[in-house]
Amino acid sequence: MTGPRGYRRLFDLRLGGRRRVDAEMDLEIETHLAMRVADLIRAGLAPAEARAEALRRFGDFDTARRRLHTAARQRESAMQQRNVLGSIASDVRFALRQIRRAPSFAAIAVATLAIGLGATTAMFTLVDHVLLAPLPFSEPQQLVSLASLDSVHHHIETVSVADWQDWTRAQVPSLSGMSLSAVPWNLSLDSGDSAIRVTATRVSSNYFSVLRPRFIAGRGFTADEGANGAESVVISEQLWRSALDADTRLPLRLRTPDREFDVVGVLAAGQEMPADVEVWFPAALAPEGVGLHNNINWVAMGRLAPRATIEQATSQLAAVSASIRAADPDALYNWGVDVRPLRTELIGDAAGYLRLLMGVVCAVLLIVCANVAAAALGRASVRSREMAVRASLGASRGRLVQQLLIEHVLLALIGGALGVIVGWAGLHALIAQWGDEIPRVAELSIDGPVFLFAFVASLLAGVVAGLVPALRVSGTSLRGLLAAGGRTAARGGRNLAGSTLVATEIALALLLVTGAALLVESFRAVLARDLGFQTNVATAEIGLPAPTYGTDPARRLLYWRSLVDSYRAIPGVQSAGVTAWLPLGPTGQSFIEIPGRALDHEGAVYRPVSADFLRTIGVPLIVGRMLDANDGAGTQPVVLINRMLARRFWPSESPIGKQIRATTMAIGTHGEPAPWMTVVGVVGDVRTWGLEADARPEMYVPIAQAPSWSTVVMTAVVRADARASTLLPEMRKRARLLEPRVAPVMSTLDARFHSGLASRTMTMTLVSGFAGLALVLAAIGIYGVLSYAVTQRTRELAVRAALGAQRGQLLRLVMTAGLRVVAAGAIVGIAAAVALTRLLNGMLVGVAPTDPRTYLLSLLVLAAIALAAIVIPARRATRLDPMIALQSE
Amino acid sequence: MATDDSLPLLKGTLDLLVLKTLSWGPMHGYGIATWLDERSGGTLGIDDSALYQALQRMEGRGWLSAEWGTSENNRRARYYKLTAAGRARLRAEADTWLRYTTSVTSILSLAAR
Repeated sequence: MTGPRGYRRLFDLRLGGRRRVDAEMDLEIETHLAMRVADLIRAGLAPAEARAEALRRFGDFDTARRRLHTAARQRESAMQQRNVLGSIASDVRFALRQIRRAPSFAAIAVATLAIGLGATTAMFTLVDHVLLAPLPFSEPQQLVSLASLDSVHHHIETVSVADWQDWTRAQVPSLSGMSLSAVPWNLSLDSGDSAIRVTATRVSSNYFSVLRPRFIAGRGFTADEGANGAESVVISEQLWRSALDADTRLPLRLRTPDREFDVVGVLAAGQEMPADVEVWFPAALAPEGVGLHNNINWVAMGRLAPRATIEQATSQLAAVSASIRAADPDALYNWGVDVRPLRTELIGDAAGYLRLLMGVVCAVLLIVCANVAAAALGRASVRSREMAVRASLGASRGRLVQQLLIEHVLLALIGGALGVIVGWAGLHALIAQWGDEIPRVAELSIDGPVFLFAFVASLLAGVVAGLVPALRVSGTSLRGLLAAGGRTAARGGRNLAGSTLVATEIALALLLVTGAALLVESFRAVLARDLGFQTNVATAEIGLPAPTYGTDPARRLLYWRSLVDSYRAIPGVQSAGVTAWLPLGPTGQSFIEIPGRALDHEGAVYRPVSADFLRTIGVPLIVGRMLDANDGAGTQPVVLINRMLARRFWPSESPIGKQIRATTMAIGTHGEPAPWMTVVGVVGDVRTWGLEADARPEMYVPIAQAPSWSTVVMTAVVRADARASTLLPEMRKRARLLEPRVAPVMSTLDARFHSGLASRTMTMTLVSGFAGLALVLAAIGIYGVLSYAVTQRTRELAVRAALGAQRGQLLRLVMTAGLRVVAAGAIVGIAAAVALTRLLNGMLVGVAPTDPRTYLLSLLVLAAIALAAIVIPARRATRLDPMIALQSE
Repeated sequence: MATDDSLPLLKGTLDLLVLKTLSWGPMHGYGIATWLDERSGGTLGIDDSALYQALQRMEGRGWLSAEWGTSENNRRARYYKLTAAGRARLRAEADTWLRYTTSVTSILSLAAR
């Protein structure tokens, strides 16, 4: 018989849930059998027969019993789930009532959580779309960028047509295809009555078969279209919709001022590569002469063969590079090929600062959570009487914890919902200001993963904020609380928890402030650097149309001279000039040869310039003379060098009159060797790659003596008293007056200068903003916890005052308590800063990550704000009237 | 009492019968079984284990609640009682069942003519 054992089991409290359920089931079955047997005996059956009959009615008894156990267990777990759900539902209702009862606490908690969660959500959106999302092409992990490497293994983004042809000819097995695209330029299109400007590029005919983008209509280019430079184009969906009314009857006609093209394909939106390009032309890529390995104007992309690795591609292409160098000793940029995932290359520096900013917003969110938790702690002890009553009425500790957690999760979820809106707005403000600095910014949207992130982050924030008060409740002696009438809760415990939270906030805030201070310091250091030239200069990049000028260098020179003369005649203009490559942009470089010395493999910037170019951008002459109008095609080749180059080759003598040769810059297309040039002057150094980089050795040659290909696309520069940007319309007009077919790209050196600093400005501004927010939040935290402590110690302070303590003594008492917390937080914060600001190293300039002055400054800022937050409640403590305070409890 | 000529129970019917039985008041499992036997004259072949399966299932769904009590013969027995949800369920199920059987019966009567 199982009966007695069943009883024992039923009342044995040590039994686990599952065993208890089984035992109950057994007991129920046993009762049933006993009742049935009794009835059967009453009906006249012998006891043994009755028992057999009762069992028979269960079918196979053992199987039935097993099934019933299973059924009972399922019932038990279903009921438990319903219990939990039911209690959550009632807790949510209760929490909503609590929010209505203390709306100001709820509003502040929700608002700070919305800020913290909003910042985190916005930053996650960026990180998710820029860093985590794969490129939107098929098999995107196979796509790689192919870049040149120079003799010092410096990564150079562009390659030459000759490089590409040699790589392709070598048929390296690890790459299934390699393609080229030109640096995009602007182009005028005829669209009905008006002209529109679009961004265009030229690509090798296999470009789209390497990239494999999605076409909305049509196709990519055929090999024929590449070979004969056919008049076919691929356009973006956006252009197709705006200029061609989304007509699907391909080929469509697309007109530029001097030519007409057939649109053979339309790329789906989001598939543009390079980003922002709207028109792709097939390029006729024929080898044009010797020495062209150094003519690096193209961006190369490759697709790895299935299962091939980047390492294989790197080593196979390195072998090809070696053979190129063997055939062409002057090849500057063939010291290997830098193969990188295309995604990494597109993201560039953004990975660094996005991760930094993500860390910063997470710290802000933690501060927010600590703040809400600290505020909740204060409230939890106000509510300790309520908790005690609930506990004495039978609420388990788990239930009380669950209820507090649910209250905070609810606040956090409301905060998170608002946070998504805050984040969305913040993200748009960020993109409006710095969209150019964020790669793949067009793909940004607040979508499923972002909502999921916001939801999970809100949940976590709610749990983090609710956990401390919840643990506090579960750790409190409830009977003690009730006995004390919920009035004076255990002092040490709460103060410790609150103090820990505030110290954490202080530590995080100090960490952020220190990081921000280091970035600001670096920004100042960078701005304090001497750029070496003026930036209030208007620029016009002009490409001369090939039909007239392509084969006529003299005519090109004539145009540039007329243009400079015309610009100089603009009223208010001080100086004007042209150059092949502006500072603050991509520039030509060359190896250098000096008579009697080995070829120098470091090279120098090589800049073909007109006579007044250096004067226009304000580069000073140090010795010798500037270039002038007499330095022409027929006269002795001359060159200006900068101070850096002079110091490198002639550290102790005057370089004037010395001979130098830019071996890479052969004149013409038929391989005539580069000429020997005479140094006629030394000019100041310029930071050609902006303030972030060091100056380079440079040489300046008259455009009439430079390789003729360098004069096809040039940039005119103009300096006036007025702001440079006011000159641009007049400059465009005059450029087109001389040659109506040109489409000048107008800008200023200022604009280039600022865009070069934009990612630094953005990082510094955002980190500083968040650090400021962290400071404010931390101050609120200190203020809240101290005010509460003062309120709580009212009785003690009153007794002290009644016993004769002076105001100063009371003030000191409260302030010491506050300062101790600040000091603890500051120590942890400094330690964290020492450990973590090292991660900033790549962004720091002129300041060490552990710069004592910066640390001291951050500490002072924090101390000042903390002091303000401490003084207010402390002064209140000293104004207590002992009589009133003592009567109040 | 289940006999060889007892009717096979239609799916879902047992739940309905148990709910109806309990609508008179709390009962233990054996009580439900004998009550159903008596009311149906033993024509419904209700397997005892199937009955208890149904009780567990319906308790799990919240239609029934159960607690231990003492029977008339002083035995520990588990007493089942309808919950509000169970009562609503009974109303809905009974309604469906009656409409269903009415239509089926009327069609079968037609065919018999």
